[in-house]
Amino acid sequence: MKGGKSVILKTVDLVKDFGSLQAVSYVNLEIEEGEVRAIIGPNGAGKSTLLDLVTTRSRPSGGKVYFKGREITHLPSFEIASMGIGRCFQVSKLFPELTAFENIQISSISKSGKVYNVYSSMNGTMRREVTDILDSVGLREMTDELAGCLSYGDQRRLEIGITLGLQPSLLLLDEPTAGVSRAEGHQLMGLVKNLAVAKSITVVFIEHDMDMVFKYAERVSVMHLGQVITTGTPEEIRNDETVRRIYLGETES
Amino acid sequence: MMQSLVQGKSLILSVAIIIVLSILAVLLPEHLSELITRIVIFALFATAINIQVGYTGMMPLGQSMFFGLGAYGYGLLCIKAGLPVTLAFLSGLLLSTAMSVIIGYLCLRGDSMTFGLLHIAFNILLATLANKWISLTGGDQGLTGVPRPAPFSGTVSFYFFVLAVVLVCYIFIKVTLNSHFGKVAEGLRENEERVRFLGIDNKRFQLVVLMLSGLFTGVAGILWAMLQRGVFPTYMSLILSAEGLMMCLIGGMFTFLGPSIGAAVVTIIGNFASSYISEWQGLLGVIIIFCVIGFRGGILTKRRTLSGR
Repeated sequence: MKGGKSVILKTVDLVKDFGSLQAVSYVNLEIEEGEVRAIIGPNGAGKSTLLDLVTTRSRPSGGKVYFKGREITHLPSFEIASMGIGRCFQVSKLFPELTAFENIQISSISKSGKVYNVYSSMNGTMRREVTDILDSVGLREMTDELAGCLSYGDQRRLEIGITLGLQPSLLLLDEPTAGVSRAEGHQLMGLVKNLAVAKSITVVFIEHDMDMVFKYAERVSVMHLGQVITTGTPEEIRNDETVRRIYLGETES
Repeated sequence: MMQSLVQGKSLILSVAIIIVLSILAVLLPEHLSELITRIVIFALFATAINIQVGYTGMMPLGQSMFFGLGAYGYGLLCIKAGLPVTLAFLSGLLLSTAMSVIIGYLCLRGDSMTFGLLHIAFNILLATLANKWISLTGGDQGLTGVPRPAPFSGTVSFYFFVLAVVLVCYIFIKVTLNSHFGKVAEGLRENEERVRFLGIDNKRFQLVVLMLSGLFTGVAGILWAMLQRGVFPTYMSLILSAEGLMMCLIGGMFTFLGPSIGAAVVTIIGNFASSYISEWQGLLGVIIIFCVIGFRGGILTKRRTLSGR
């Protein structure tokens, strides 16, 4: 409860071993409610693995994860998702042969708790919620397009839209702008930032593009060799000696 | 708007099919109306399988075991326990449904590959039991003298009984697939991990799918036992499991009526080709290769698919 803001996500000594390699090494991370946090670091620093551990996509070798004060370390992924942690993957995980509308519809069905409702027809249900979400990620025009036929950038938007159907309080984004043009990347991150404010969603995103990080993150955590070596404002990170060395070191090698 | 139009069309189509089938059954010679009865029963079998295959993206490689369990449950209770037909029918259903939950639970322990293999393993296990537990099942000789419901013992009247039962099942299946549940099932087919990360217990959901599929497979099995007035180990053979999948593939697994068409094709070919070629299943193989490579999705194909473009 430092500084009046509560911690929404906390990891305590989180560890992941892959054989002799420690991909995540005693990570202690605190994300405050409502902040937009970037996680940066060279390839192989353990950023994606960290998100996998938080959502138990892979099991931690040690340590604990707390969400809103409740331990979630050993809960199954679907339970963590329904508690309000939305996850966007580096490679979009969509329902390719369903329309953009249906993609989000499934997420809304899950949120409404009507997954096992066998006898109510799908026609027009949740049209308003789903259309609102399509609007908010700028895919209104694509309502009836198959997800698999959307452009890459639109697929990234849909990936975000799907998780919004869950009405998450925490959104974990793995490289949301990878593979899209710079302009589109800024649009996407602008979108995320607006959503964070409008729906008071806490956002944690992994990013390689430093412009994006410095422009959209409120705080930045730097990972290197499985550890979080420092956390600070974009300004502090920009001027941090160690961070510079890591990134320069990477360019040299 | 589009959707209700399509549904209106498929309603008209279904009514038309039922009328045509009914007229045929009355007009055609008896052995042909029996052929149509067989087609209708296998159509239900294939449609039940397709709840898993086309709608949820699962690969039940041994589904005939539930067809056989329904048939044996019904047959044994009629003959050995002397239960009335209605009670035996319900108990047979209970057996195939309960077993599909138990076996399903065990098969779902691993990934989708493990699921298919375990499914086959249970199929082989049960088929062997049916073959070797002679004191109970009669082994190769099977159980004979399995009754049809009293008012429907004639070929044509039994045909109408089958048509009515299958129709009721179709309505249930169709409503289920059009519901929230059905939409989530399609999501599972498209991307299981995404469904999981949307807060849905994917394994539990699949178990419910297996239960529904097992229930309707059991109905088909019981109808088959009634038609043949007997139960034989071939009702849970691997060949039958494979044929069920072939029906889905040939007819088009991404449509509701596709598997029924597949059932008609497979049954008719089986009926006529088997008198000329002993290895008529080879012909089915050729048709499947043609459907998979040529049609991409069977005879009935949804216009709206990625692979269809």
